[in-house]
Amino acid sequence: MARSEKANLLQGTLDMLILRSLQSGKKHGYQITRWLDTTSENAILVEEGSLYPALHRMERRGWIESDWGRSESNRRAKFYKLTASGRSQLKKEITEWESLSSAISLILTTRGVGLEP
Amino acid sequence: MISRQLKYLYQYVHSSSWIGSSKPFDDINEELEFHIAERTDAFIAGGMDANQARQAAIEKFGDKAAITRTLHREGVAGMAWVHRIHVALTMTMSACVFFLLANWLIQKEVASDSIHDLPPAVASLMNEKWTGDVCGVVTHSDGDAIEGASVLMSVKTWPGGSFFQRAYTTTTDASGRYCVKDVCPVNDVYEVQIAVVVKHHQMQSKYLEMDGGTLENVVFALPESEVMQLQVIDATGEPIPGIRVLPHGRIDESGRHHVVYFDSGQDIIQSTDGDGQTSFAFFRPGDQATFLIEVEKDNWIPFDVRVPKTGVTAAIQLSS
Repeated sequence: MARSEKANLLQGTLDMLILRSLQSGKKHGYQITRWLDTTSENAILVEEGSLYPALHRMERRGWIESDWGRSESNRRAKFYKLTASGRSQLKKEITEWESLSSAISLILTTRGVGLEP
Repeated sequence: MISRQLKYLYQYVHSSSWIGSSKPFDDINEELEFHIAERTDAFIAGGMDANQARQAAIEKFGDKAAITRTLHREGVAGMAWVHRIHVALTMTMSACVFFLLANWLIQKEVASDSIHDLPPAVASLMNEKWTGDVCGVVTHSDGDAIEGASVLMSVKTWPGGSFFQRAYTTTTDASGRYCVKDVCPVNDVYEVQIAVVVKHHQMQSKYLEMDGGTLENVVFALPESEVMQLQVIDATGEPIPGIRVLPHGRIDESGRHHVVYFDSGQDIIQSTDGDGQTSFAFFRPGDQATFLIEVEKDNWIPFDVRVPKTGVTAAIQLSS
């Protein structure tokens, strides 16, 4: 049960991070991993085995859309960009994340004494 | 919601992303391969040689085949409803096309069998609309209906320039009514000969020339008749038993001819008894009667006889 909840949390977080990476413009999958690496100062590692299923799932949900183009290295690449629905979803997920993160911070910084049994 | 479904539909139509197609696999593989290539370039830029960089990029990427299968399976599942509708519509339309085609072929086959493969005259005969009826009433001369009168009918037609004659027989019902349906071409010329024969009434006939249409009410009013005794004898005067005789016609006192056609009069043929005699109750004394006698097998010869007074036997003598 605890393992399942962790997986859900991670999945939801990954979606939010990908949506955030696309807020600054369209990117292909490799650019997204590079952006996350750089922006998080290598603190967050997104595996390709999670990245691409997440990208395709979000595209089916209508949060992002894709088209084929040319990369900087002149290779054919699939680029993703945010849709209006994706922007709304990102806003919603950030709000939820901030709420959750505040709650967790509150718990971690509380100096109260635990209840005696 | 609706726009997303429409987008699925658009993707389904334009990306051929359906079960069994290799295109989705190709797109996914190209996308993942691009990622590995970009990573390889980064490793090369970091100092690795090309082979090492490629190998390291592949290892870092993970199980590419498993990722490809996952993406394809989930992509197809996302469009499964479109695919199901597509299959259902295709099957329905195929069934409709098959049904229409089969129906057309059957119709064509039937038409071909029934008309086009037949000789032109018969095809023309069958192509005609035979929906015209011949109906009427038979009464006594005083107007009372006669039930059970034999109505003998021949219909002559000329379809496609050929001549066809067909015979029909019927009897009148309790109200004296008779009707033979679907025997005349309503859109073409035809002629109908009708004879009415009933015991103890004078045989009558009518000949009608028609230019299409139907005959709704051909009326016969039959006066009573006497019983005529007829004997058939040979050249030596000996009676001929068992010879077949058809009352073929009569000329009444006004000079009018009444005829029973041979092909429609088979039901009123009689055979002579042991004395070479038979009787007919269709004539009036003084009529000139015509009989067809079968002198040999299928050889019928006409004989005219003046109908005598009641009680007197008329004789027909056959030559040797």
